[in-house]
Amino acid sequence: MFLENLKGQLNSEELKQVELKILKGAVDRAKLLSLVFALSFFVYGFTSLEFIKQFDSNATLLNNVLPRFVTNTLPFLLLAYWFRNHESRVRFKVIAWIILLPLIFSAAAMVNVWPTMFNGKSEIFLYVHAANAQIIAMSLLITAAPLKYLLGQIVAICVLFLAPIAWLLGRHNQNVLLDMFSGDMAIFIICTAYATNLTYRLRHKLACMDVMMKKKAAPFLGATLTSAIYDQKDELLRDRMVPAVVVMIDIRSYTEFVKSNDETLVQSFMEAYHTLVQRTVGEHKGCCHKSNGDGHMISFGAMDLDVDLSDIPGIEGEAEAASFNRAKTYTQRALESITKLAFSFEDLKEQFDILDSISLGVGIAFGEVKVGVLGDDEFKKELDINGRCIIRAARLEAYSKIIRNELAPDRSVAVLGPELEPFIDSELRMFQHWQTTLPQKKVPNFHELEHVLYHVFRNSSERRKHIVKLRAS
Amino acid sequence: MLNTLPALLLTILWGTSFAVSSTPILMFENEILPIRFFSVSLVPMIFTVTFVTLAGLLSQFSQKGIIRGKFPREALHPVYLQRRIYGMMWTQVYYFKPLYAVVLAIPFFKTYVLRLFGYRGDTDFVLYPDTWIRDLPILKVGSGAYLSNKSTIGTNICLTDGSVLVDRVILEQKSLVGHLAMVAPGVKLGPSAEVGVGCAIGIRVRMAEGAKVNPSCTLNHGSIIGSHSEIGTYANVGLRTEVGPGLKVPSGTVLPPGMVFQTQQDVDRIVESQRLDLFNQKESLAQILQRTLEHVS
Repeated sequence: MFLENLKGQLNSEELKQVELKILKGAVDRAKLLSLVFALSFFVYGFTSLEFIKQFDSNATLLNNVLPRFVTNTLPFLLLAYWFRNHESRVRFKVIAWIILLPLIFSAAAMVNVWPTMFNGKSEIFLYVHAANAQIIAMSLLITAAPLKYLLGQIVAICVLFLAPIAWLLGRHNQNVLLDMFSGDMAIFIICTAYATNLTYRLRHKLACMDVMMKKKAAPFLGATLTSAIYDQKDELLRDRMVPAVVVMIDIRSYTEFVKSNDETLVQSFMEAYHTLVQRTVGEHKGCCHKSNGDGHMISFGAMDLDVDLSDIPGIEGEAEAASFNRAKTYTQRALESITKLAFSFEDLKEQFDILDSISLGVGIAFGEVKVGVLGDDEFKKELDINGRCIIRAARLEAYSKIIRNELAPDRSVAVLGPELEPFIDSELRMFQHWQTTLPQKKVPNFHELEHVLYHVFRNSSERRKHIVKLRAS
Repeated sequence: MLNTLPALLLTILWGTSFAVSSTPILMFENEILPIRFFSVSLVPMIFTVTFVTLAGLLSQFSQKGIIRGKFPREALHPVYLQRRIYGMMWTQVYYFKPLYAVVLAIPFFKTYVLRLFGYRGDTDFVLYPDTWIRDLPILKVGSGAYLSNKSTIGTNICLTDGSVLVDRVILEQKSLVGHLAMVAPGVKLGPSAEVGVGCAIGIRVRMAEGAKVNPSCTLNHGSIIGSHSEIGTYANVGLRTEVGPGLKVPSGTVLPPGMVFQTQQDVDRIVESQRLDLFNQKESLAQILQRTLEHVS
């Protein structure tokens, strides 16, 4: 029931992934089993000689060991070698295993055992009956393939391995032995198949849970961490310095808004706001690293895993142009994202009938950030970004308060570091210079900045008027 | 050492192969002419098997030197020395065209030789005697892939700083590399990805599933082509440029380095700006021509 519920939550593509994962596991186990059988059948050549001699005096060590080595050990070793790569042509390998396994078992029985039975000494069967049961059980249980493959495996074993034994026993009218053989095998195969299917279901459940966990964890971890953890892409977690655009967003007059409004309204509004930020940033390929109440830290480009071309000489000029264009792209994405966010924020205020003068304060900076895993192994670790650029973005975001208070107390304001100027040529007309040389207008901690760029976003009523004006013109 | 080792290895390879292949002539000294003819007819096949087996076995000692990285091209450098020995053995087979053609004509034999030289991927892909491949331990070709004749799967590249850059090349199942196309180290072609005739695919370029690059295109180093995207004929994709999934880049477009194209509008915008640039250039040239003609008349 639990498994059915799990399967119900997965789409067809994910179910295919689960089945493939199980088949890969089956091939991997078949490889191990092949190695075990290769050794076992070789050893059996020595250990079985004593009882074989009781029925066939001509049996020698050489004619009992050598054929087993050639027809059993060698094929099993080749199978193990073939299965060492259990990632490719998985279905074909499972089918080959299903057919080849009973054929190799039959080849083993052809060495002194079946010929002896053929010559009328059927009692030798009693000495190999337990061993046969054991190898069948091992092959079914350890492989633990999905049900349709399990049924195929049982049919193949019955037709290619057990049917000749039944025929040899029936040929000399050994009805007692035949009854014992068929009864034992029927009960034995049913029980083993049941146990195998249980094992398969357990594996299937684990595989489904794995996919489900990945699916559930993805929204919390983000695309980068999900890929790093579940797809074992460790390179995504290595420490590296990357150029990135960092955006800090905060809601202005948030404390007043919380104080003057009903808690339920504030909570509903904030839930909608957080959804809006995550969706907008995600749509523009950004990464939201942290959110704290009404504040967000976002980056564009920090989590993109770039191809390392540092070992190729002679491309420095072009690489510089590529880095410039890449920075331009990240800036473009950041600006599109905050523009959409600022307008959608106004829509959200209307939707929740909020009359308070809350707006967004945005700080944007560009520079090298260090991406790496921080934290403690025993408690908590996180993939974080660090660097001077982040502090600059935070200070610019705080600085937006000064511009907002001076120019438009109820509107959203974005402040950009001057380093972004070369990347925003087409959008430059929407940004204006703000001199920061006067002592009271300096950016805290960044007194060397002589100016910043800013843009005051229209609120919803102004936007409507602007649209009407544009249509009229 | 630099002279002795190759001379020794080549003597072993050629000498042993000739000695073994002459066995039927030496051993079956029969008076019946057809039998003697028959024994002589076995010589080429015995030579082929012995030659490739020996070359493969001799390459075994140097296969651990076939690794990714950047190494100085100095004969006595531990990795480069092994690369030289491996390369020497492989090229003895590769440049022996009739023999190599026989190897590729028989699937079992092809698998046997590729495995001997350290290849670990699928072997049911199409490979021609003049398709350049080497460094088989770091080459991975998927089932059903097609490597056209005269294409180059370059797992190594010599650089001007006196080093050699070696990187894996992964061509997933059913991918296709067209005639005369060149693929540089570190390239990864996704399943069913297609590189058209005469294309140049730069270092560490990645093409996702179903991506298609039409004839005579250049994909500069580190560029990424998204799944099921199509790059038009004669297009040039810049260094580190990324084309998102499902996009169509028109023929002759030059995508600047480092750009990221996520939507078709992004591509259309750059095409339009290039068209405008060309139009402006045409206009200014026309004006210059007109002025010159007026001046002349």
